[in-house]
This record gives sequence, C-alpha cells and structure tokens, in this order.
Amino acid sequence: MTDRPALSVRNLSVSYDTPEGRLRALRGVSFDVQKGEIAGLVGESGCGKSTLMQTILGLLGGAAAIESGEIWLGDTDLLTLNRRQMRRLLGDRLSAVFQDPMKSLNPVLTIGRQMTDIQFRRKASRADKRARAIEMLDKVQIPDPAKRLDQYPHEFSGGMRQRVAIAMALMAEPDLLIADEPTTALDATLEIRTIELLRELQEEIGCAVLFITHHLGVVAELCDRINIMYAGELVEHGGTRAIFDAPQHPYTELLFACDPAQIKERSRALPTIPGTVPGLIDVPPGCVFAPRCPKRFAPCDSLHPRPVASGGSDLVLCHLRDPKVPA
Amino acid sequence: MSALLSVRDLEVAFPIGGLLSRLRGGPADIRGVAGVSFDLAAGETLALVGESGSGKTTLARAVAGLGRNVSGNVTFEGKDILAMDAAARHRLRRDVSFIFQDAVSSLSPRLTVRQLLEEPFRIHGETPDNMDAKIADLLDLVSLPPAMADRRPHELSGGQARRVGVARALALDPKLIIADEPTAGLDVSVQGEVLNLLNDLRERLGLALLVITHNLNIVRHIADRMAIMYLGRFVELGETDTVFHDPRHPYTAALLSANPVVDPEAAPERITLEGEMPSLLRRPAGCEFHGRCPFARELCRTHAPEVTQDAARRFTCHYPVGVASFLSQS
Repeated sequence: MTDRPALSVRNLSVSYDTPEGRLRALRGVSFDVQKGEIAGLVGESGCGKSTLMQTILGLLGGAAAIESGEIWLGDTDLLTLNRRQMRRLLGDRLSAVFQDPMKSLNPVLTIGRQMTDIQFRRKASRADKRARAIEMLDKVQIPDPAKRLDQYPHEFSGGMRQRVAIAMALMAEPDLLIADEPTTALDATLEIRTIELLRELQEEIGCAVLFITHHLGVVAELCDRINIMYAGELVEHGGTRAIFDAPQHPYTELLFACDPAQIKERSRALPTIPGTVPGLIDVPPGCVFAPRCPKRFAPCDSLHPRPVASGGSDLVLCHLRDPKVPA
Repeated sequence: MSALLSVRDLEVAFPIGGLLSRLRGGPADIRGVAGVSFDLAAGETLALVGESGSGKTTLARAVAGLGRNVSGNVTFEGKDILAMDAAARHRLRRDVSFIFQDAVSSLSPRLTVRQLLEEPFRIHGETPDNMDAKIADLLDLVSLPPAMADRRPHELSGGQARRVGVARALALDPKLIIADEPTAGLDVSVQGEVLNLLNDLRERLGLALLVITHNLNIVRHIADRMAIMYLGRFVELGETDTVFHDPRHPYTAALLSANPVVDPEAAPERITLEGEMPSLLRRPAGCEFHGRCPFARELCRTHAPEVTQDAARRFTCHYPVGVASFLSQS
C-alpha cells in the first residue's frame, strides 16, 4: 500500500477541435481525491465538469485532444494506458454512476442479467454471481431483491433504478467511483435517501468518490472537500466546511449567494451572476472570471492569476488572495 | 377575490390492462389525479410540489384542457373547460399557455428561434403587420439579444432555450401560465434569471402562475401558496410561509425536512419515510400515506381522514404534526 491519493489529476488540459477553432475546455486542472474521501465537483454547465469526467473515464470523443497532463489512479497513469488496458480497469478499479439511470440500464434485459453480466471478470458460477447481485441489491435497500432481480428496469421507480445503478457500480468495490449528478433527476426525499445510502456504502467499501453536481446543498451534506470549476479552470478547492464558511474566490462567493437555499429571508427577486461565461476559443490572457467579477482590479485583465492558498482554501485562483500582487 | 381558475373534484383516469385482466376483475383504470380542488387568482403564484408520479404534470395538463378521461369541474374565467368543444379549446390556448419541462426538446430542431416565436401567431391565424417588431419585443422581454432570432435550438444553451420557451408561452398575452419544472437542469445563476423573469411578468401583466417543481427552495421564494401532492391528491394546501414554518401533514413535514441544507455545520432533524410511494393500482386503505408515515396509528389504517380547513390552509390528516400549537391558536 502506498500513500498515493486515490485520484490525482495533474495539470490536465483538454481541447476540442471545432470549425471556429480550438476550444480549450480544460486548462491546467490539478486536484487530488484522497482514499476514502468524497470530493464534490461544482460548476455551471459548460465549465468542463463533463469533459473532466469523460477524460478520467477515457470516454472522450474523437474531436477532443488531451494536450497535457497526467491522471493517476493510485499508481497507474490512466493517460498512458491503451484501450484494452483502460477497459480492464473500468467497472473494476474505476466505475461511474450517471445522471439518468434509465439511459444507463439496458431496457430489454432483466436487472439480474445485467448484474451478473458485469461480473464477467470473476471466475464464479452463475449461482454465485446471482447471489452477489442479490447481496448488492439488498445493500442498496431494494426490498425483496431475489424477486426484483428478474424484473426489467421499467418495473423499478426512478429512485430504485438509481440505487440499482449504484449497486452495479460498487459491485467490484472500485478504488474510485465517479458520480455524475446522480440525484438531479430525483425528488428531495429520494435525493437525501440516495446520498445517505451512497455515504454508507462508501464508508463500508472505503472507495473514494468524485461527486459531480450543481446542487450546493448536496455538496454541503455529502462531501468532505469541494472543487469549484469555472470556464475550464479549477478556481478554488478546499475543505467543504472552510469554503462554505468563507469562500475565497469571488466566483464561489457569487455562486453560493445565488443559491435560493442560502437566502434566509423570502425574496421574490433572486440574485444572479450578471454576464455570461466567456467563449473558450480565444481565452482572454487575464483571469477568466474578470469580465463578470465585481471585485476586479488592475492586474485581472492582463495577468493570469497563479494558484495560492488562502483562508481555509488550499487553492484559489485569484489576484485578490495573492500576497505578491499589490492591491 | 374572484378566481381566474377554479378546479373542483378533478379526476384524471388512465385506462389500464386488457380485456383479459378486466374479465378477471382487475381495475379498468387508475386515477392519476383523484379529486383535487383549488382556486387560482390573477397575479397569484401557486406551486405544486410532490414526488415523481404524484400526479403533478397530469393535473397541470388536465387544467390546461390537455387531458383525456378527465372528470370534475374546471372553470377558467367562468367558462367550463371540460365541456368545451375543439374550437373553444383552441381559443383557450391563447389564454392558458404551457412551459414544458424539457426546454430543448420542446422546441422543434428544424425551426429557427424566429419561426418558433411566429408559430403561436400562425396557429391562431394571426399575422400581425409588425411581426418582426413583435418578435424583437418578445426576445427583449426574455432578455435575449435580437441576433438569437436566427439560431436553431441546438445552438442555444439550456438557459437560452428555456427563455425561448417562456417567450413562446408569452407570445399571445396569456392570462395563466403553467410552468412544468421551469428551472430543472438550469444552473443556480441562470435559474434566478428565469424565475425573476416570470415574477416580473406576473407583476407587470397580472399573470397567474401554476408552477410545478420539486425544488422547495424555489417554492419558498416565488410562490404565494403551495400544494403538496401525494398519490394524485392534495394532502396539504396553504400559504407558503405558513406551510414552511408549520407544516401539518407528516408528508409535508418529511419533504421539508429532506430539503438539503447548505450549511455543513447544521445537522437537520429529518423525518425519514419508509419505503416507496405505493402503486396507484393498489391504493392503501384508510389514509393513503399510513404505510410510510412515522406517526401512523390504528385509525389511519382503517379510516381515510377528512379535509381540515382553517384560514390559511387545508390538509387531510388524523394526527397532524404540531397539533398542540394548532390547538393553542384556535
């Protein structure tokens, strides 16, 4: 056993080839997810969350190119693996739960068939695999698992389907689980049940979880640490409590302020972040958030901020927090 | 206060099963909405809250005259919607418009934004002389730049597509807008924009809004009143503030307590619900919530509770939550 983090992303840059030019979707992203830790990844649509997830899982499309960086899963650099080696890893040491369980489950096969199929690596009898599937369904609190195993996905409710997807993802007890907005399609009561379940299973299995979401309440309840992305860059990361107490990056601060759950007094007019996310084909030389930032000052337009530790955050990409930049 | 929309004992049935199962004595239909009554005044916002499958969308469609097998009474400006013929229903669409849940897929991918915005006018046989100005106005109303008119849906972001949907709903100056999950899938920063827009239009144009959502944080900010649905019925309906601060029905209390709190320090006290929502095929006897209710007693298993009505709300429960404070008030 080494003390390496479960996942370590180093200086990752990914771009897409588009008719208008090279779209630089991820630029110099670095972060770690420690063993047994649940890390949140938060950001608006188009900030690069999905690109990051696809890069880690090796699912990037043909128009995408990895320009630089390393992705370490324990002591394996995923970016040096070929397709076959990557394939061997997926569903074993690395697995994922996606947003829509109806789309990730095969509608024409029974749950049981799908749950035994994905155990193809195990040398065990069908009965053993079936027993393992029943055990997993029981763990995700599906009542009467032996009977439910012979049913099709459409016979399950939305919340149950997502729990089945979680059971399948955790079946091989992976080192890292990537959960891409797994509760977005669920209602409040189911959402809480699902994240509580995820936490219990995570503690039992001891895997690390990268939880992608834009629901800040879920991050606050579930995650040990959070990573905040904006326009292809990681702008802040640190312990959940520290960041919620005192966000260091102006974007984090505004994002939190926009969340209706954060506003205690009832108000008909909700805050927004004026302006739009910049195009990523011609990325401005300065800070990417500068055009929308209420706190921008002289260096923001021309100089790209360097990562610094500030307050309770381990990394902030903002000139305001950099002691070497004069105010 | 006269109601713009008045709904009484609304039921929506879905036929199920084949001849064989019916001969065996199985039910011929299930009731997706089972006896719902409420009023909505001009300029008012009512939020419908409930789990998926509780009948929110079915109710909204029936209210807009889009449902089949609907019984009960729905009047809009004193006219009975359910008794309308096709032509009258067609005219009703001018006054009652719908914002659909999935913004991108509710827009035809083959049409430009301009054509999408012209569509409501064409459907109602209107060709205003100043169509271009109308479209510019609509785009302006939803804060989209005029250049957007020539884009197609796939070239729009989620928030922009949502705003085109809102502009379409507003094209013919409706009196009631039914918005099905108007902010689902939107980022928090954009979500505020769409909600502020709807609220602004409500104030300026006196629109009535029926908003379906499962985001309780939004409900708290935008809705005057809220209704909580379970198995096709309202278990509680009341002023938003009242319901939030002092829920009566255990299901409401459970929903409110499940709302994730954006404060890592807070350890909220949760009311945990057992099991899943029962199937509509087998509605439980007595109070339909008793199987999942942490406070259920013997009476709940056998007798369906009556509606309790007071000034600010109504609910259906034998043993309402916080009943002590309720008694001391009355």
